[in-house]
Amino acid sequence: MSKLLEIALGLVTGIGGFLEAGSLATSAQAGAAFGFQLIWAIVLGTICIAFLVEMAGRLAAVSKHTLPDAMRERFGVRFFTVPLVAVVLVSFLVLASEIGGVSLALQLATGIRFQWWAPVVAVAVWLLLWAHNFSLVEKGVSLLGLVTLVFIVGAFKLHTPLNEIGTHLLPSLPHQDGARYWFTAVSIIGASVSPYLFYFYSAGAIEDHWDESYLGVNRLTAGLGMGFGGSIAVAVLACAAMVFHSRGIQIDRYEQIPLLLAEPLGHWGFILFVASLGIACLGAALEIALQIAYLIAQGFGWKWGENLKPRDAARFSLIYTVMVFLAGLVIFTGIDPLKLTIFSMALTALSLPVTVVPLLILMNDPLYLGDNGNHWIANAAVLFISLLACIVAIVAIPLQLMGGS
Amino acid sequence: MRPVPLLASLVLLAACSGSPSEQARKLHQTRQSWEATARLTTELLRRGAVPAEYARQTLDAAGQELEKTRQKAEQLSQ
Repeated sequence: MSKLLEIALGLVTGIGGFLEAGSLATSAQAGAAFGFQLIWAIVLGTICIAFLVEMAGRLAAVSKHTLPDAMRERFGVRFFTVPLVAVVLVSFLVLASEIGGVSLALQLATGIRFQWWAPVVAVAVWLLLWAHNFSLVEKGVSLLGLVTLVFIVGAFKLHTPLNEIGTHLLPSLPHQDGARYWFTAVSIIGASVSPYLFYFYSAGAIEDHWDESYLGVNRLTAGLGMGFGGSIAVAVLACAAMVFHSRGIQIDRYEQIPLLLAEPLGHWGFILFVASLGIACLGAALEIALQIAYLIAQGFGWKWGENLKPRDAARFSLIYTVMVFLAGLVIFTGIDPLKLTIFSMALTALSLPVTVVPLLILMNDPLYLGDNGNHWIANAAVLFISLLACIVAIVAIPLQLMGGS
Repeated sequence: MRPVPLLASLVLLAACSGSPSEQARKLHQTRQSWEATARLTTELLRRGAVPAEYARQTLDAAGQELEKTRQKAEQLSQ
């Protein structure tokens, strides 16, 4: 019975926690600019993150190591600093984007500019973490995050043609705006395969004392949770395609995005959009701040844990405190949260090989996984998607920058 | 997708992006996009689907972006 509850909670977390600033913004931008054409990028990203989350959970359950812990032990401190720096840098930018997302939701609700909300949001995120009741908050936010299912309702209300979704499950070349097309594609993959998701998941598995009896729960949670989460991102893209693409509207600013639910669902659509944006980004901000602290503390062998009082894990608490307030400061400067979000996602895609290849090496090491090592299909799928996203990002990011977008 | 068409597409777009005609096309697209945003916002405000404050913010944003587009188009034509 407790395993069933674990699966149910895992699914709720997967569904409620999948959508955040990155996946919302990139899916909406993709649907507005290219209709249904970029659905394949969400599918690729979802497959990749499902594999990665499953691997991180399996590593924790079998080896009793978190991912940073195992990386430092297996590759040494010097090598470990490379993924450490890459993940911390990318995660910090994503954290700023999420704080920007909550601030924008508050701007939409109150009319007060988002940068004035940034310090308030940073303090709220920090207080929730400092009060060390994160477990409750995480489950609560994930449960509230189910409000993002409203995008599926919106897509149905708009009579989304399912054959269009089916047609674009496979990649196709763009008819125009090639730089923007590929840039958006890598941003979508980056948003789906954010390293914080699987690093955070491995830490959670250790905190919940997973062992090999949890491998089935892990597989179901990763596969179904990420699969359902990905379908919400597809629904966002479908709503944007139906509302924006058909009218020739591109998404250049966050202010435009609520229209995609207000059109099919009226006033409640607007309210539920604001709630979805605020809750999804708040949940992601909490997880990312904690994940950065986990990563650094686990990597350097410091005391860590969401259930420890701040004074019992002082360096761990100091890291998330500094990160949250610095990220709030970035948004307070008035930087465009949409541009920050999109570029953070593209940089995430660029950094994927650095974060993913060490995990794959660990997942094929019998010293850590015994007989539970990776199947070649999982290795091939994750390696192919990560390298493809990285190569396209290397070309698409400079082109997009040169284009002035 | 095979790697050859993908790379060919990337090389082609590297050659084309940033040309004056491409910039003019993008500016035209941006202008149309913001005009359509303003129309949709006004329509939804009339239906009571969005609050007046939100509509004001979005219409202000549309005004700012249209002005930026106009200035860029002027620079391009000089």
